[in-house]
Amino acid sequence: MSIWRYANPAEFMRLTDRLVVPLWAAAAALMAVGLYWSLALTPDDYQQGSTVKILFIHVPAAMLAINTYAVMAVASGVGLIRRHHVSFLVAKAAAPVGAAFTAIALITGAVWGQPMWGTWWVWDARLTAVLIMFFFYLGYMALWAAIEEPEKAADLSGVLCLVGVVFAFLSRYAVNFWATLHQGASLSMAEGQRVDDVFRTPLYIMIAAFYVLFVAILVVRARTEIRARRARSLRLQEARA
Amino acid sequence: MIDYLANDRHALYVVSAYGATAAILAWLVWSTLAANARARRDMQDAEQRRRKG
Repeated sequence: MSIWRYANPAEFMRLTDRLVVPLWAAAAALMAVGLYWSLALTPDDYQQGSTVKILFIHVPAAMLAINTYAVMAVASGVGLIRRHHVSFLVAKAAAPVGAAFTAIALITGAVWGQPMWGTWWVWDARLTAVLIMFFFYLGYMALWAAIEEPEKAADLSGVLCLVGVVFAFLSRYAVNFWATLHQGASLSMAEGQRVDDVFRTPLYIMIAAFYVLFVAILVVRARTEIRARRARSLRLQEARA
Repeated sequence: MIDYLANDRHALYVVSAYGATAAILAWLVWSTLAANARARRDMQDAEQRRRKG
């Protein structure tokens, strides 16, 4: 069975029809457990105090900010190469979700930074790359909205998305390339350096909650785009008749 | 909760971060569901008109 059959809008709608409700339910359940564990069951950190609780939302949001861009880039690349409309629509559907997660990462990072670093913002390589990536999300959405012809909008915004990949890549790896104020990857560090288990377990639950929520929103938004495209095509047929 | 807000010097930061996140996620979910309902209605209207016409 080929994966490309899901590029057929009818097939995509049929498959995802059964997924929407379980995805919302799983996201709500994971979010409830994760929030309770993060806020009520974890102790304060000996250095960060209660601001450590901000990281339970900052880390998943930052991960999704970058990975949503990766999803958009792959979908745009597939759309440009194989000319599958669903790929472009998935990229279009992912953009506001990625922008929202990037905004959450930037805001929660600033709110954590003020008491811990003594500043809301620094022009650090990772922070700057994430801010530029946020502007790419906004630019991508603006380009889709500005061009009336859907085929042309899909192509041009797809190219813009691929140009912005460099900033998504830098958002992820800037901490490995340069000595930045932002810390490195806490979850993949060696034993003894990484986040303690007491924080790691609720963090993993929150990461899972954010990812499932992302998939639920993405699926519903992709279905919305397919329906809107179908309605537009029917209206055009009616106007021509 | 009231004790936490009154006694923890970082409480305002934590509440602000969670509040901003909740507001953004609530807007995202609401706008997603509203747009989906609108698109479903539009498509059904267009299909009905086509069947009639």
